[in-house]
Amino acid sequence: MAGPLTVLRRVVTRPPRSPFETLCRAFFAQFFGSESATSDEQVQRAMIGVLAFLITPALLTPIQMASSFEFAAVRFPALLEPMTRQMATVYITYSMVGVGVIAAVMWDALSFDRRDAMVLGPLPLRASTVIAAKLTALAALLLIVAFAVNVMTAVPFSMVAGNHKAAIGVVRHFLAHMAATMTASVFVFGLLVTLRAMVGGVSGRHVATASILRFLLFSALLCFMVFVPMALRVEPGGRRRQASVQMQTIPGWSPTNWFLGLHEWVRGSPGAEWDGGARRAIAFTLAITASAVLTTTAGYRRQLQIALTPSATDAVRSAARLPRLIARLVTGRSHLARAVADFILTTLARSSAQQATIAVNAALGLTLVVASLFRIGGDLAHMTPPRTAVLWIPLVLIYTVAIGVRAAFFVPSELAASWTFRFNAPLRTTGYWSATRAAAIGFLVPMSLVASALIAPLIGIRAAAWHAVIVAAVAVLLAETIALTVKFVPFTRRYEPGHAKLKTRWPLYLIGLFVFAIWPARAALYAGRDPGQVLRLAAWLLAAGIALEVAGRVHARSWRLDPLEEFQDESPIAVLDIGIVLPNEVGHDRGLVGSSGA
Amino acid sequence: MLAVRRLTKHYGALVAVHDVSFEAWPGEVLGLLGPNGSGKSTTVKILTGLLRQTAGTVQLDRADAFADLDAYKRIVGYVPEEPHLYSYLTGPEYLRLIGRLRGLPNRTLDDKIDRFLQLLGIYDDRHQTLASYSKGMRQKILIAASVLHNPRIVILDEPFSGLDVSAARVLKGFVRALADAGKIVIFSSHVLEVVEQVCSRVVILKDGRIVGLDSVEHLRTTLRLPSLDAVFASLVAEEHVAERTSGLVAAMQA
Repeated sequence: MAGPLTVLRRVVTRPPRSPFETLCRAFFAQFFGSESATSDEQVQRAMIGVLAFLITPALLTPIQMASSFEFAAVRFPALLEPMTRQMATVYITYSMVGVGVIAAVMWDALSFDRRDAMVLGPLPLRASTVIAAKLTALAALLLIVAFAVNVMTAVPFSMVAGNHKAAIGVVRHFLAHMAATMTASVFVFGLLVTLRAMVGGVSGRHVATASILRFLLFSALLCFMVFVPMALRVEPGGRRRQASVQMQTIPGWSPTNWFLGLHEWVRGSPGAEWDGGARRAIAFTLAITASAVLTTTAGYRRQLQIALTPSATDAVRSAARLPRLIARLVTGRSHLARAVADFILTTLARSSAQQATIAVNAALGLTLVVASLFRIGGDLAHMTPPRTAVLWIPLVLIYTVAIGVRAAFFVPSELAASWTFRFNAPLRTTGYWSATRAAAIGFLVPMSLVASALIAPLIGIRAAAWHAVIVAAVAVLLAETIALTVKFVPFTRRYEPGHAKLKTRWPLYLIGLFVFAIWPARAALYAGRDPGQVLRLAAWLLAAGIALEVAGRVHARSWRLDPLEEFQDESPIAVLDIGIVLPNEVGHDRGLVGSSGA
Repeated sequence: MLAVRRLTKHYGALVAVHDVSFEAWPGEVLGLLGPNGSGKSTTVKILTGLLRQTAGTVQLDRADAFADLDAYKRIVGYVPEEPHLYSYLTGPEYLRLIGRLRGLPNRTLDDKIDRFLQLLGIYDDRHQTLASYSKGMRQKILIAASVLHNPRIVILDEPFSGLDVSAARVLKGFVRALADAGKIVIFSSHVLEVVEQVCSRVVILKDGRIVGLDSVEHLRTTLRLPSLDAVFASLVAEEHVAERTSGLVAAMQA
């Protein structure tokens, strides 16, 4: 008899029997495809990495909490229920943020786009079949992701928290956990699918919207991971002090409380407030699911219209004017350097893949800032006098954005079009280095001013303005450093997975955090107290700038464009694998891939 | 004069171009003809300097053209077969990128770009990104980009792909005018009627080798055939055309 894995493999690998099934598979495959990566296998590996990153802490937290629950069961039995609710709230939030992050990663595939309409529009397929297939693929993705994320917390947590109520307690706890977290996942996923369909249909700025959403969701996820250990802390007593339990309170308006209500209702906890929360959770989830279905349906029809009327799309405005102006000042009169700097800044302003990379890194910076503020108590009175934890805010944000910019340079943008450089520009010139450095300065310096303005309400406008000068100088040093670590025109090379070598190079990034954020913040603090230190700080920054500039000019000689041969015979970008199976010459099956040029 | 001598290109075990030699003279349009996989695009890419040959040489005015590749590329204009462009740029942004990479001064460049866009009928679409351009519009951008720097050698690979009838007529005249202005023009295409109208001489390739090299009239006279289409069919020896045609119909109806 065949095992479940064999049955699953047969179901997945058998040829599709209907257009609906074919489309479902094609749409599902789109979630794991990327035009930036060299192969779908790399994307799938990356997605498995993201899932592992999400699941591992969730799996470990209940195990870590086991001793605390045992301790509470013995010493504070009355606290078991509040602790269970506290942890359930944490897992509900985790479920919402985790599914949100995955949806944000797959943002482009959450709804129909113009290319789907162009490929599918001419085929003799009913719109209802196409839309139903898309919705089925979305539902399958949601179920797989939400189940993978939530079951990992449900099993250990129900054993830890339900341990004191025998087996039936464990089962009931498991069911409550799954019901609450899965409903929360559906709510967030439905919300993002609705947003994606609406943004794709009515706005020409969906790239920027996607990047902002990714930034917010990644920030939420990372902040969540920072706060989880602080949400519930049980400290055993000793001879000299009493045992204590510390719990963070969740604001009443938070949607998390609706799903906590559902959790408690399924668990059978007494209390009318749970019933109300459960009703709200179900009502809002049903409403948002209905809106996701409606907007997806409307989205397909809208994309069909857009596909047929290309001239109706919004005209683009000139991108990144201030950064380009700064970059021109830096590059001087070189036409080539100006052209490449403009190209880099326009790509950063208009390309989703590049913005996503920067957004994720910026989210990491925001998390570091939030964590440090949380450490000092989050009390405004503590932050008003300038201190390192405040002065480093713009520095750490700029540092992480700079890491993102550098990473984005390695992500290709419309690789097939890179012949433009290979044919029209010289193979070797220092202009490429000059342009990359100028583009990085043009991107980071305005951002450093905005980041410095964030702390003006805390330390005053005058102090913030002085600090902005230091942050801008650090941004220039970061740009010089970025240009030292690249030696090709950004976005024109294939992406090499794992080039960042985070496993081995993380100490470098940590040292960078000290060099570009912590030390300058401390130096700025001392300079604020002793005007004599200002000159010393300026001298240090100038010396570092000169050293990096000289190193950059030497390094610029090694910059070159890749010869075309590496890019020869490149297949056009796959748009939609419609999975039609045909026998080839040697009798094996192969899929036909619908494709279009860039 | 651009002279190709015993050009050979291998992709691993596959021989894409084998021992190909021809010359292209200023003032003439040299056609490159051949079925799919005959080595046309490979030859074109070698001539543009985008691909290195396995053996053989390309000479310009009797000197190795690739000895100073950057200098060679400065005098070559190229329209590739596939219109791969940065789709998030607008037409003028793309042309400005090309012009600046080639070192054209801003004032001249902006003036040239405006004139090209107007003459090619895409001026009104100048604020749209290339993603919203039709294939023909993209092709016009590529043609403008290829001659923006007034090159001495112009290499065109299927340049009329996607163009409407009137644009194709204008550009046929433009290609002949380029030759009349003393430029070396190499014109690769599948469309035999266009090649017959535009080209002074043709190189016919099959399986990476030259099977015909002469003026269109001379080929017709020598082979006693009425048209270039017949000459092409004769030289590339398309076998069993009737059976294959009926086979396709049968496959469609199966």
